[in-house]
Amino acid sequence: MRAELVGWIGCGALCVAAVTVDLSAPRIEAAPEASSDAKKHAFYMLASEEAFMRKGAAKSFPTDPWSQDDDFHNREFRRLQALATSDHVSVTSMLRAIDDGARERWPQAPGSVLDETVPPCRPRPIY
Amino acid sequence: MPAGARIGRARKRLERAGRSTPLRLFTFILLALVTCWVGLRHAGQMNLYRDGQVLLAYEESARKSVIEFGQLPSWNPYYCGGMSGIGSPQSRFASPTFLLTLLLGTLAAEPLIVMLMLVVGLEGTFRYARARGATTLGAWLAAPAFALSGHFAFSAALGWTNFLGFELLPWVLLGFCRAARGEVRGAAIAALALAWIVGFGGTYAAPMAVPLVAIEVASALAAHFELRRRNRLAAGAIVAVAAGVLSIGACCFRIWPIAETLAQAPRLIGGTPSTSVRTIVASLLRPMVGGENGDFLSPNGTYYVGGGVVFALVAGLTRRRSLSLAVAAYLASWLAAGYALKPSLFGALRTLPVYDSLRYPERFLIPFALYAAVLAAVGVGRLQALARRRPSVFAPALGLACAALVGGLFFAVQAHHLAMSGRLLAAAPSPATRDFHQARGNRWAAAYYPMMSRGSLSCWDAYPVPQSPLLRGDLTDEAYVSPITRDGGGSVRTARWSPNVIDLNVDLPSPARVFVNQNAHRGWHASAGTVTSDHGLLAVDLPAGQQRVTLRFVPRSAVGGALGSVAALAVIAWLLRRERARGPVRDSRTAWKMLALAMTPLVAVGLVALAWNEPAAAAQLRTTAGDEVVVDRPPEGAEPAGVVFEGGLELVAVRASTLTPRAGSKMTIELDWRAHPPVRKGIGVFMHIDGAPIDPASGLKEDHLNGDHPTFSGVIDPDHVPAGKIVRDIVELSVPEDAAGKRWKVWAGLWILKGTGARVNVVGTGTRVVDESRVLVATFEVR
Repeated sequence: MRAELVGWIGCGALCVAAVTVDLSAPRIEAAPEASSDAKKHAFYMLASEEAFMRKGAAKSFPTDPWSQDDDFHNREFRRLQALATSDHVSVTSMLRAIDDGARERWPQAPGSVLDETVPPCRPRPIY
Repeated sequence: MPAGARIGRARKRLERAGRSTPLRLFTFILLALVTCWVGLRHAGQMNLYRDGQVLLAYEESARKSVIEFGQLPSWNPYYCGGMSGIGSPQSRFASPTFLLTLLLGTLAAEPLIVMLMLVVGLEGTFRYARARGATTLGAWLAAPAFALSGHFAFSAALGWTNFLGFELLPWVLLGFCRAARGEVRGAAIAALALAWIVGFGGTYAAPMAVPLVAIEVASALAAHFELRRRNRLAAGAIVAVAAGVLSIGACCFRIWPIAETLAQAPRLIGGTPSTSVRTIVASLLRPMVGGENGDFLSPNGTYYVGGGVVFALVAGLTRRRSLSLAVAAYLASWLAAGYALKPSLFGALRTLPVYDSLRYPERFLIPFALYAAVLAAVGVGRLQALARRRPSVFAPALGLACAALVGGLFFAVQAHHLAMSGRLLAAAPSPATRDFHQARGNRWAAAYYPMMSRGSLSCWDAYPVPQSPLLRGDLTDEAYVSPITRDGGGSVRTARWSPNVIDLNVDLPSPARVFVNQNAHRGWHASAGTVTSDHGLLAVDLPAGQQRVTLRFVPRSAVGGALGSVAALAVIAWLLRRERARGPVRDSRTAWKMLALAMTPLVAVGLVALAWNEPAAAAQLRTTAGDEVVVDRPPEGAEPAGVVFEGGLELVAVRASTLTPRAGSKMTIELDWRAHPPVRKGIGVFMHIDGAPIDPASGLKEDHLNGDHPTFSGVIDPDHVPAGKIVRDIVELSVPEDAAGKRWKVWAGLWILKGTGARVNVVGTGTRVVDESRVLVATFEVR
């Protein structure tokens, strides 16, 4: 009986330890939010590069619109991460830049087109 | 004291400690804590692996619904333009682990959820092994071989947390094993474990459990048969069926909404996936190779059980009662081989409904790991028994088997640490409090969007999520009057927004259609007007006037399913109370009564389905551009083809949107098909787009594009073409930038996609050029 009680107390102690380790885990310091100007610049850059990135995606998947769009978003995310790293700002602020820029119609380079729709999800049946 | 006696005493102490639930749990929690150490030390950070992002987004959306809006997460507006939360197969919030997410936040809770599931798996394997005749020591030592096996390390690292639902598999088998012995408690365990699995998003675990349950029940009933206990055999069989019925009832809260989703958007899987025996051995026995940025390029150790179990497992195989375990393990490994072994058991399984959507046969190595662990546990018991009879020979063998199992723990834990260390992690995004909008989004960063109070239209899941092509990511208000009906003017403004309830202030001079920038679903209801789907977009037809319209998401499937599950829990509670008073079911009359009672939840669900009329959402049979796929006749401008293929399909007509496209532009190539049933299963379309220089002296190279596709327009399997209809197979081609100066020929035909890979013969050439069982569909020149 005593051993059982000790066992249960031990279980509780381990659970508390796990939660403590979890909550006290060192967090990665979040990069600061980009300034308004930096966001507008990032939006300008990403919007002007979109057509090029979409062409690359179309080459990878010439007959599959969803895969093209998905591949474009992969390229876009990698580019956006690189921009965030080089500007020492958070990835979130770069994602916000694309969203806010499109919604608020921020300035874009002549000829750059930001596609605001997506082809419906059609995951490839074979990989 | 002689060494043998000392070992004997130590073994007895261990046996006693293992029998004590708290002491055993203490060791299991400690083991899980050590195993999850790396994950716990990285708690609160974001896993950037692509699938992990999507699954995190599901969990975070559910958390936001509950914490920020005080609503059940039945609708998820944050992904793909809105989808049923409870009906989304991979979301995991409908399980007890969601409490941790609510308490600690999505990112901090995840490592603890992994740890909890490992403990559940360890204890479940222990109990299941004991039920299958293992000794306490054997079950204790062998449980980690399954619960810490490689796939759980791999899944946790990729963010596939819902795959840890497999840790409940031993509980399901334990439940059915006991139910077949007439125990109501077994039925309760099985039902609750299965409900947890489906609530946790176990798209593989639940269907895979079914054939394993059949083996389990057959094995338990065979024991009755062998002992000539006919009455108990009948009673056990009926109680096992009752357990199955109760399990379906308990899972209704999830099964009904998911079935509704998949009926509208069936998961289409092609190909003949196979796993070679060499790969199977490597994934079970070779140490894991760490992934770079979360990608595991080598199969080594991805289902790691380790060589430590082999010795005990072989000993386990020498016991006659292990036969059913050995058969189950064999069948699991045969299934895992996919199409690599002929005949393919996996191929046969895929002919069944639900199983036709399984993609990865190697996942049957997860139940294989369970059977291997249980056989090893039984093997330790066998060696214990032999050591008592001939200690000089078998005591060292027992020691060796135990040492190998304990030693194997090191490699299992190491695999977890290695997998978790290879993840690409990022700082947790800081949450934003602002109005919700749909954004174009990015599914590779899907988990960022709920935290930004945005929905990501960019979407991926394992099934074609019903998405409207009218969704937009740049609106200043998510509701607007349909441009077609706006002639009379009018305005609409979102007054209050939450995931399940949207209030709109509407001012219309004439009747009009109001759009809400989310996907339509049959579960949306409006306080005024009629809810409808306009090209898949949520819309309400409203009368003229100023009014406040409230849209609510209350799907029949979620309400009716929850009612069924509550009824099942009530029946289980009543039956358990009865069992406590009268003991297990030993006669068929009582068993029949139990079965009748077990049907009650399903009757309740049936009544809800009959009483609550909710118009069925038809499958979205449209191309990505929104064109109808199933039509009565080929579209205008299509050239008749009349090419008949073996296997029951006819290419009725073909069309190319242009014969002189510009480089870098888009064009469509259309194949119009008709079925002459029966249509052969497993057929796909191959399409070769071959470019050759118009001027041979130009120096341009020949080029080749592949347009193979397993389904027509990405939405219909060739063997599902409705009789008497034309199915348009529209391929959108992005003409390459370097395509200019070339003449392109588009050849298409059919091939046995799920099988030999051979082309399907043409038996009637019609009006087209046919060469090597392929049809010349179009010839175009690029300017």
